[in-house]
Amino acid sequence: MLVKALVGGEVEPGGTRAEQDLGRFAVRLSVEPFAISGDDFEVLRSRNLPEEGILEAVQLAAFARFLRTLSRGLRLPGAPPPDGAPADGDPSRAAVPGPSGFATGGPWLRTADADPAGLPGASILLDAFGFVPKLYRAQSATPAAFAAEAHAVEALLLSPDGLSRVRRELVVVAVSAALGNTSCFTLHSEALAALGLSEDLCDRIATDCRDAGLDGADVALLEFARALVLEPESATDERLAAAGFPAEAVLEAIAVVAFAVFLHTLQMGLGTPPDFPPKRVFALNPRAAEARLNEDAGGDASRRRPISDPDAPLVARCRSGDVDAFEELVRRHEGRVYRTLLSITGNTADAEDGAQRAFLNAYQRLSRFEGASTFGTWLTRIAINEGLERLRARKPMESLDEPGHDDGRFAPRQIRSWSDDPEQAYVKTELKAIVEKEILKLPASYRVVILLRDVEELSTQEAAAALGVGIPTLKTRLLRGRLMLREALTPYFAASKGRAHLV
Amino acid sequence: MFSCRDLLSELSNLVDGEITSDVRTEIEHHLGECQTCRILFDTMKKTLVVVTEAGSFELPESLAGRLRNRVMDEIRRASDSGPRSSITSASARRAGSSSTR
Repeated sequence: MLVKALVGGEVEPGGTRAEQDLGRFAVRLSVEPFAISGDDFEVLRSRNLPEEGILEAVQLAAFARFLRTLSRGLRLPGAPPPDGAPADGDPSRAAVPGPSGFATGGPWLRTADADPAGLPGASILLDAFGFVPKLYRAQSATPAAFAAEAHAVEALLLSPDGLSRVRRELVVVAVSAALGNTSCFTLHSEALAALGLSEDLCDRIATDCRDAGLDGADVALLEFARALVLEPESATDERLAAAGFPAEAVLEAIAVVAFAVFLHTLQMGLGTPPDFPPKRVFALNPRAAEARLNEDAGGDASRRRPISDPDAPLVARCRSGDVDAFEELVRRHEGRVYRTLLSITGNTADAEDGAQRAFLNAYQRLSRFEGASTFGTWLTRIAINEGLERLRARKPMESLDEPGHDDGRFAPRQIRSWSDDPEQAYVKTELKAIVEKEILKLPASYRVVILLRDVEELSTQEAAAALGVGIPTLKTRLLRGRLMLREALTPYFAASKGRAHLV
Repeated sequence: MFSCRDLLSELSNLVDGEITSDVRTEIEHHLGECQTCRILFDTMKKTLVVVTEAGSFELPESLAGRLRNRVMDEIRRASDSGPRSSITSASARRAGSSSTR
């Protein structure tokens, strides 16, 4: 439905009211991104749309504009008219500052403060910028899109062939300036400063790239980029060819322009503030910009926002006294709670009793659940505490603290290949028994991490949050636990021998 | 130079696909030259396959039903007969613990 709406430019009748609203929001963002505000998000939330769903709509709208810009740049038949430029955009070369790149009050998604460390792709952004910019942080709730965008940054901004990194960044800066996007302009100006360009170069590019002291080829490139966004009819690649750019470099330039439009649309849709105090603010409404800047200076990072939670409606019903809603929550989470307790206590009787206690505790404390984490993470934490209490009562020697620090324990000893499909080597019940037995032999601190990450398949962040440890600690324990488990399982699955029941 | 020790420290990230592109290049180079690390990497991947495929510690439906019934019985009994605080004391009695919080 969303894709259809974005292609067709309007929302077809049909679908739920929430879908209709989401479709209209995405179309508006893709056509007039400056009109989006925090109020739009309140409306969407009031339709019970989850944060991830809204985030995906923003991403799709941005992607639609990416494709539109590409098709214009490549002069594909049926390429649509310009849309990024404001109707009153000054066609003269000194048209910037453009329309307002600011609105008040962003970022608008409640998941915008998530910690992206450890997400696939985060390291690429660290390579590119030295930190994970807010625009990407705000998308941590959709790890696949986060990773795809990081790889797009790698392919379109960092890759050294054709155009240099500096030229690619200059294109993004020029496009951001043409579109009046303070946030994107600031980030990529800083990236250029980090690459050794003079501080005020970007500012001069924003005013008029012909007066910025660039060489002829750079001016041709940036004029082409600007024209492709604001007045695509006049964006011809002849001048680029004349300036010595080979055809591949022209294609790359078009792709980078389209990507810059994508980033601009994302930023407009998410309302993420600049990562640095902007040196230049493109604003038609300085008051709005100021309000935004002041808010940002007031410690954006320390502001905690509730995160999106699929259980939130059920939790709300429980709180209003609906006992059946809690039964549904038990149904959703009983497996994980039971397994968490089993992994800590190491026996099924304790796990069953402990799971019961954990659920009753959770029900009892529900009024104190503040939504700082998801209900699932909060409940897992309660289960872990319940397990620890039982562990302390019965096995005073064991705890979830790190066993003695001894790297030698984890050095691999068994260097034997395994058979090709080890999971086929035993019938299912045998396989399950072997794996359970060996996991339960691990020290508690490792088996609980293995259980949360590899059996429950929680993300690194979720598992760290549930255990109340940092991500580096979690990763260390996970590696050690996995190494010990690999060691323990090798005799069962080695290709050469050890499978007594097979010939 | 990327050593076997370096590979070991990245092994978890490697099987999780959480590796930066420059480290990946080094790892691929090292794996091309070191049979021990190839075996280590391969058996670690298979360890995770085995753990995932085993369906370990699944809560059997009979046990799940029993657990749900016990939890909901206590909650419904408590909500029928008075304030919620009675739940914890009831469950504490059952668990034989003196602590309720």
